[in-house]
Amino acid sequence: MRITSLKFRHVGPFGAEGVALEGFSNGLNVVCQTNEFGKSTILEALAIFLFKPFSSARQDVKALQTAGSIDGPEGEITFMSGGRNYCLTKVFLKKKGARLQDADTGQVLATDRAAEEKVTELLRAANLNDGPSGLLWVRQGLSMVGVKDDGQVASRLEGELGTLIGGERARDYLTRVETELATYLTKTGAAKKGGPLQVAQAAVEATQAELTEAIRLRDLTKATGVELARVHSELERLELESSQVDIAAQIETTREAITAARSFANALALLRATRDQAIASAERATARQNEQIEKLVTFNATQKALVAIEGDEAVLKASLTEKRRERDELRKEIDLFEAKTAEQGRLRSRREILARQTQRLEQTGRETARLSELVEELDKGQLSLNSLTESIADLPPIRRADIEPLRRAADRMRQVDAELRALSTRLFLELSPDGAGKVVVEGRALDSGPFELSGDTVLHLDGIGRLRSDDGRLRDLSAEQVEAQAEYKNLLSQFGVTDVTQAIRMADQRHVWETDRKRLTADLARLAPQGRAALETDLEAGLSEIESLTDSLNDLGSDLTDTPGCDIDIADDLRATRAKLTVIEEALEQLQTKFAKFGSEQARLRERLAGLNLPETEGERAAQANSLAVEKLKYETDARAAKAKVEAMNSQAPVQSLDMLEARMKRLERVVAQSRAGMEALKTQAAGLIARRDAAFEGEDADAKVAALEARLASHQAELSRHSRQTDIRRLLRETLTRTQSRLREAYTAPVAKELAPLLSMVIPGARAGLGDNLGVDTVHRDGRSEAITQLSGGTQEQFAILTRLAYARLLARGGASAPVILDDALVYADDARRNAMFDVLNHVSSGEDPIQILYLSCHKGATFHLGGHLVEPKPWL
Amino acid sequence: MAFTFIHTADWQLGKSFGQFPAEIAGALRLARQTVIERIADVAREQGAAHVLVAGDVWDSAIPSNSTLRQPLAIMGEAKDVNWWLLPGNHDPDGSDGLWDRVDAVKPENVHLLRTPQPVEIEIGVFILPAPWTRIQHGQDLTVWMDTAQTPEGALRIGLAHGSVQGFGAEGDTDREIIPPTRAQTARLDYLALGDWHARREVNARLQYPGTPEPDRHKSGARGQVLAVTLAAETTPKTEAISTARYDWPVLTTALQPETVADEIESLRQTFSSGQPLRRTHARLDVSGKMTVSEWALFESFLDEMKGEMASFEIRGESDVSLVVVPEDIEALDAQGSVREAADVLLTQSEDPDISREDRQIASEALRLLFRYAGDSA
Repeated sequence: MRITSLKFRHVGPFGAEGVALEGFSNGLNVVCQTNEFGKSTILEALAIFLFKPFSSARQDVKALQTAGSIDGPEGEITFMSGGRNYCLTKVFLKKKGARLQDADTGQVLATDRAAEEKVTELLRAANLNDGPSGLLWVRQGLSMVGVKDDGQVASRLEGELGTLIGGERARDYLTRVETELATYLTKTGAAKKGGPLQVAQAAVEATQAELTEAIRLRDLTKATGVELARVHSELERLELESSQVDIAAQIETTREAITAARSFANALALLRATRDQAIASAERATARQNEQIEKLVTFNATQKALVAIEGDEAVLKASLTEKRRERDELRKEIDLFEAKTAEQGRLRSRREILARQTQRLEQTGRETARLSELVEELDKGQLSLNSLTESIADLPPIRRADIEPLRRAADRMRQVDAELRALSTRLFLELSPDGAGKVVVEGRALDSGPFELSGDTVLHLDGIGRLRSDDGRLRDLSAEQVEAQAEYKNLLSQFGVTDVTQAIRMADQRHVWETDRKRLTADLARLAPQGRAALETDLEAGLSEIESLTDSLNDLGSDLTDTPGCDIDIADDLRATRAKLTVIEEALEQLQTKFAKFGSEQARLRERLAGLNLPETEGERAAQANSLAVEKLKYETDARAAKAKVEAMNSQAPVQSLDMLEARMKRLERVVAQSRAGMEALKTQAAGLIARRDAAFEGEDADAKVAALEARLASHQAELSRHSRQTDIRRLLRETLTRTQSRLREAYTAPVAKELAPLLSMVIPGARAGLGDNLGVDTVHRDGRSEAITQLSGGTQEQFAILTRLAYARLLARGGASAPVILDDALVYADDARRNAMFDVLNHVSSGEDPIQILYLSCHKGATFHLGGHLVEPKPWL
Repeated sequence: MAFTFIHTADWQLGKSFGQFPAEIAGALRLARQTVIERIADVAREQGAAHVLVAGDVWDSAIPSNSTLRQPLAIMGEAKDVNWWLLPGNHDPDGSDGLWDRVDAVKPENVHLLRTPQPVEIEIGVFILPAPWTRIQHGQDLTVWMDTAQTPEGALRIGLAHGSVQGFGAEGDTDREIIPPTRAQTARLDYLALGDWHARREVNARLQYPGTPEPDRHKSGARGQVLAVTLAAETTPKTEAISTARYDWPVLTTALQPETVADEIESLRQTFSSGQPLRRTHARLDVSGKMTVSEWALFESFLDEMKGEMASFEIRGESDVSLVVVPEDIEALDAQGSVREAADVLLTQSEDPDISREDRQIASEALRLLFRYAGDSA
């Protein structure tokens, strides 16, 4: 589409006279008017007349109307599309209507709604499926209405471009779905605390727990009922049993039988007591008789033993006397032996002293001899030491350490001599043929010709004198030779030797002797560490001790020889005699013990006889025995009679014993007690169960509560499922919106960026633009760094926005759907260089192949002067 | 001589209704209790001095003290009515001791039928009860009625709880144990049965009255008692009298594009035809498909019903297909990422290669997108 002319009447400041902009070229068109002229109104009117239905009476249409005018806005737009010229005429409000004509022929193509639909069709004639181009035109118009102009083209453009991919709307929906999703989930995708999903999950878990507890309580209540029924059943059974079995009658019968059995038992007990008493009397009589017999036997035996003991006592007395005599004799013999043994011990002691002193004498003698040898050896060593000292004193005063300086002086002297000899002078001798003299060197006459004169050689000119070399080096060596010889001789003199060889020999001899002297001195010190005087003192003390010991030994020897028989051994005789004494004493002790026992045994036997308490005479003892026999016979007869009575009574005993009857009685009483206690316990248990069950019934219905909780759990689970589903739905929508947005952004920005790059390089060389979500430039890359578009100046942002817009327009133009680019007071913030560059771009894109139609509206004549382009002058719409 | 009595069953007092919020559950529980007052009124209106309850008086064999006593107190207040209570499968006379508890506190005009032996309730009128003694006894408790002896010419009314063979229980075929010929074989003038919560007439002498207060979304006549009049040698005369406070309708609809608005109106009419909506617990089973705009309409209808009704349950909503026409997409966005996202979701919602669950999620995500668009339009 390309606009040819615009005419408006009853629009904004233009009123009934209207405004007409005619003669728009296909390229760059410039409309330059002062402020308040109504440029923005013209743009507003362009959008409304193209895209608003003529029937619209909305606020924006009314706002376009000239203030105070009764006529509605009226307009005529001529444009070219698809190679054909059209004229759209439209009137709003009072005389509303629309008409589309062929601008060349004037033919009316459509009117009113049909005319507007045709215009829409023409505006969208571009390939709708070919990227943003189709949308741009459509959205351009919409955006021009929908986006408020803040005075900068940038905002308008960016808003417009953003609509290309439904960006604003998609962002709105995305924000909304994100917001809704945020009520369910956290950023990490977990259920949000306090959100419906988490609340539903918590409700499910809480209800599950509540249900478990309710089921437990219900089952407890039911179990209580079952237990109560069991208790009641058991109680009934016991009551039935107690009613069916006549235990009371059994107890009464048993009680009567027990009474009868007890009477019989009492009578029998009396008879048994009489019987037992008779038997006891008989047994006592028997015992008495037996006791009497036993006493008599004891009496006789005791008397016999007493007589025997008295006989043995006399024999024992005699034996005791004999043994005591033997003991006394042995004791005397032992005393004699012990006196002899003491004397022998004294003599042995003196012998031991003698032996020790003899040994001491020998040892002292050996020590004295050793000391004498030491003194002698010491004297010999001292003599050797003196001799050696004298020999050393006779040697020249040279030591091994002195050899080296002497040797160096000799070497130096020899070296100087050698160098002196090596230093020669070459001479040529020409002897006169008639000369009488001759030349002699070292005693040898020389012939004519060359010869060598060594440094230390003197040429004797016979009859004339001597000739020697006077070279500087020769002089130095000669002086050094004198010095070396003096030093050498001085050293020889100092050390008292004639040459180096002798010096070495003398130094070695001195060294050997001095070493011997040191060793000898050390030996003497080892022989007498305390000195020779101490050694002589020890020697004198040893000799004195020998003399003293010799005297003592002489005294002891004479003492021992005066004591005869001291060596006889009497120890064995003493031991034998002591053994005999021990035997005699033990035998004597045994006899004394035995004798003492005889006395006590006699006393004991006599005491036993007295204790028997028997009559003293034989006759009296016999009478007593007869009396006891008669008594025993009588009691035995009585006992047999009593036994017969008991046996007779036993034959009449009842069938069931008293014990049996009493056991039965106990059993029956226990059964009754147990039955009573059991029933009581069951009643107590039943009362407890009833109380517990009744307490449970005071709360909610246990079954109903379980059912309610089961239903509530199902409800919560359904709620959880519903929220999960809502979450999934929103997640899917979010992902789908995000994915499609990304894909479209990529699809749309790539061709735009491609178009933008060459335009941008014309204005800001080296810069590269990044397109954002709204398809506007959001980042700028240059000089190796990136900047957000918002960080740039307002003027630069505007330039990027215009360039982006132009890039879109070129894209449209290449697609055969060229769209006009309208710039309203643009580039007012650009500096001169940038503005000129932008003007170049505008001229570039509005010329050549696929030119873009540009409508440049401005209030700055100076600025637009440099723009060039086709000037369009507004005129009244006549 | 004609004898009229009220035949009712399945009160299930104390039922929890746990699927509902506490206030609704409480109201429903209370309704099951207060229906006793209305039954007493019906008895008086019908001139009946006896109300025979054919089992399941209580929902549980271990009701709380108040759940047990309060209904008995209501019955006791209707002194001119005799209440004959039979243990059923929900409240058997077993080890839980329920009927001992009832026996201990019941008023004089409440009579318990705990043993299978004839009870003369008026001169010449005998009840032959078949009480449950434990859950799932698996036996036909009415067998004994065939040999039960009553005076010649006396009216014999059997009272039992359970399903009749061949008619199918409510999901429990094991309990189909009462032969449909029991009234004949036992020479019963009428066999008053309980267990079915919907009214059911097996034959003229063998009938279920249904529960007097409905408790779930089920089809069939619910919420009434039977006034039964017996006379010698004549067919029993029965009349169903409504006692319900709440309606529990369950409707099914298969939605189709272009007709959704009409269907919505029809549903609204149906729901409004019974009890007031505030006393209606409805369930709607939906299927079919709707356009984007119809979805908005339908959701608005659902919001309305949820607000108006005591409770409103929707089933099958996820299975309803979203019909998307090009205009819908066009309206959403001519081009751009929103449109492309819609296209992607639409494709996913129809993709046979992904799971049904994923297709539904894609469809609902698309609906959400349309809702956003609708909200911002």
